[in-house]
Amino acid sequence: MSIFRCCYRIQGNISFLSHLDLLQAWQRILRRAKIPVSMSQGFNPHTKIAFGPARPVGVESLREYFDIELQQEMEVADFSQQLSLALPEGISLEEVRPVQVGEKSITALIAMANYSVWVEAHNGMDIKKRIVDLLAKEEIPYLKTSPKGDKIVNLRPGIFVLEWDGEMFTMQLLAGNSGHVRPEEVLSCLGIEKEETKRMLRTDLLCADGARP
Amino acid sequence: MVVLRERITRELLPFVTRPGQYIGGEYNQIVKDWDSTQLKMAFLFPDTYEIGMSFVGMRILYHVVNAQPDFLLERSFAPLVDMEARMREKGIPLFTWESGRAVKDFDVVGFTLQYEMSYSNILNMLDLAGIPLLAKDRVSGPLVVAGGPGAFNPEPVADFFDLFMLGEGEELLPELLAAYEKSKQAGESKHDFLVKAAQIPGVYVPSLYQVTYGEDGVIKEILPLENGPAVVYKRVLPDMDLAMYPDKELVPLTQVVHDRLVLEVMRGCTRGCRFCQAGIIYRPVREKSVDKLIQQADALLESSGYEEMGLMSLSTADYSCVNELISELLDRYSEEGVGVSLPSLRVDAFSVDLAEKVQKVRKSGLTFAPEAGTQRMRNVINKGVTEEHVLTATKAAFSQGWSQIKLYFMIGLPTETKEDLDGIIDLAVKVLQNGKEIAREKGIRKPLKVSVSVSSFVPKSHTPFQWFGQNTLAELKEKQHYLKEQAKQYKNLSLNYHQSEVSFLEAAFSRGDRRLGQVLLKAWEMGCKFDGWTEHFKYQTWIDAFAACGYTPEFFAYREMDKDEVLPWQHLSCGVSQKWLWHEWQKALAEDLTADCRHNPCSGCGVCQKLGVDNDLKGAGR
Ligand code: SF4
Repeated sequence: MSIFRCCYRIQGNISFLSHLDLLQAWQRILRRAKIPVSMSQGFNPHTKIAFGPARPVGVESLREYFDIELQQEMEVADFSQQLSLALPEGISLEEVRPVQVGEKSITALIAMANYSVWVEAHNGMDIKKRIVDLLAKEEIPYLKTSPKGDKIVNLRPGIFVLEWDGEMFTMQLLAGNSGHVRPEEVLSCLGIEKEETKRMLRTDLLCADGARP
Repeated sequence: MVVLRERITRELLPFVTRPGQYIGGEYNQIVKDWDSTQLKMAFLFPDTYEIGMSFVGMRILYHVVNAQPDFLLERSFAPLVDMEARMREKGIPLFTWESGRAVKDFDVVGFTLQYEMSYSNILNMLDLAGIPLLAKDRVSGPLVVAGGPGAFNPEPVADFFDLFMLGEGEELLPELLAAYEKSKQAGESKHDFLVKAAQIPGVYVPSLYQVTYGEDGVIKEILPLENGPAVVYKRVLPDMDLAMYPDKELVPLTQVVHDRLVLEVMRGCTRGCRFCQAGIIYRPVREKSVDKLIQQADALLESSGYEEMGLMSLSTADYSCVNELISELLDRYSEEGVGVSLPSLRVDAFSVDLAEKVQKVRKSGLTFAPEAGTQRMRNVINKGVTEEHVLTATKAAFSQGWSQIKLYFMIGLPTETKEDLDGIIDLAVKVLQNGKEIAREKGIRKPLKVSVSVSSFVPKSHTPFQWFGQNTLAELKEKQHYLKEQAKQYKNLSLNYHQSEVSFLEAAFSRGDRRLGQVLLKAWEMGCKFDGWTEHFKYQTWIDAFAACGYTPEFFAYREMDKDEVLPWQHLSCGVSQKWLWHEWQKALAEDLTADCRHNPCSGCGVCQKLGVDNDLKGAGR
């Protein structure tokens, strides 16, 4: 049994797919690529794939991950080639490597995400000041809405980096099993409207120690 | 042009629900080069992406047109209400999913007429595209065309279209596009083109027909002008093995209604149910061979990655090689985890066996359509099903482990009496009792459920019941109420019915004529759209729209038509003669059956002789 860790890029309009739709799309991609994915036993067998944290709808990404268990041994090169041919426009394979015995799964590893966010031209001074003010707060209450119900959460502990270079924000935010802060939420706390956002790009997903998974 | 695409990405997609439905980009999508392609067509489905993508006809035509080097076809669908509002606010016109271009920039814009309640969406989409709604107001700009079952009585939408295509489009559409391309190059006027196009078999140009009405509001005459054919006959493919079928399927990235690969096994049905329009307009039966189907399945599975394959037709259990096909498909693909599904079951034990064979996982419900509650009524509608059939089929289903049975019935059929209504409940109760007995014998603990679904009969053009005036709303409601009360007395029996107001308007449009164009326009102006969706359907607005135009839906829906009455679709033929339909109507009233011509002598509907085709069965399986 071997497990491969795959890293892929998702760019363009396909980033408007929801996380769930994308999971379903991957099932079909793997079938088209004839990748021998292991199946779980039992009543309702499913493919053994573990995905990294959900990507907010409309956010492009340079590095998304999944771990996939194979029924039979395969060369990384063959695997990558077969898979690449079956990908829809906008998704491309970045990196594939075997996961060693004892390594943690992707789901357990990811702890934070880096983002680049471009917004409409703003008065740079003002934004810089807003960032300083925001980060100075001990608590940043934010109302998260979801079909399961709304609740107020504190975003502050989940914001690790927040910078502005006059055109683009750089953010490092909490992501993974212990929770999520989304770039959209941070922007809203800075008083920047969704309408003013030009592009959101996830540039990396990282482990708690800052290393790539 | 690129600018529009970027605006869609920036100004629309981040702000709407489920934006993934608007992005296209499906695997196997075809995006041809705009500038080097001569003739561009946009295919518009007058409902959402989720529904439209389940429609096989579009997938076939997508493949057929794009296979031609000189043509391209891109898709567009009705945006949901929030998306539409945003588009209007931002001034972004309706666009195509492939390249994000304005629909208005295409040479031809084609709709499919699948159900009457989507007509208001057609107007809404034309408006969103910035195309004048009325054909007579369009001097330049795209040619607006339509096909699909609704094209057999397109009169209610005749004002909005330049032409309609009757019957199967695989050959007709490319012919039409080629003719239009030639005409464009020659710099002909739209009118000159239409006069010529009317000579292509299967093309109906409504502006070339003058309709006059009598004092009583009934049509006096339908008069062809400028050499328009007196009767337009549908197009039909004689051999489905030779018909073009996609070897690559678009694989949607978001959830759609039928998210599976579709294998069309045959076209047409000659069972002759008298209420069924599809059973008339798609005649005769033409099957594909097992070899052909396996070849198509192979290619499609390989290029799509689908895990389920639906065997599609009007009645797949009637396919003469169905056993052979299913065995072969299961042999080949079940190891790879590909499932086979049957869209509809015939009411018999054979069909239950088929369902059992393809059933992959957990057993849930099975659906049967006896359509009527008594033998007398089933004879009237020529549904060749007996109580015996229903009981054996449902017994077989219960014994084989299904615990939920759904039964479909219609109310408001011609000659219906209270006995026929009681028959519905009686039959359902018998099914339920059988189930309980079987459960007791076998020690099954799972609770059984029989649900009865009752729809109100809508008389359709081109059927033996086209002359029949629909039951009034009050009658239908009373019948629904009566049934509901009866069903209440039984545990484990549930009964539901559809909104009869919808059926009423459907009947008006299905039997309506050109004058309804004004009503449709009015209703759309007053805010009607997505009428097929309960949450958007505005009955009162429709009634107001009728009144504002000086018409009533009652006139079109309730009137029993005379034998000699000029029907609004008299000049549009699927090859089945009006004479035969009338004969069937009389037989219905006499409770007399007509046998399926697949396994019995020709009953004389006329399509084979008229259009030079034949029932084409590929197996001996009779
Ligand atoms: S013409 Fe005869 S054989 Fe052909 S479909 Fe009609 S009834 Fe059947």
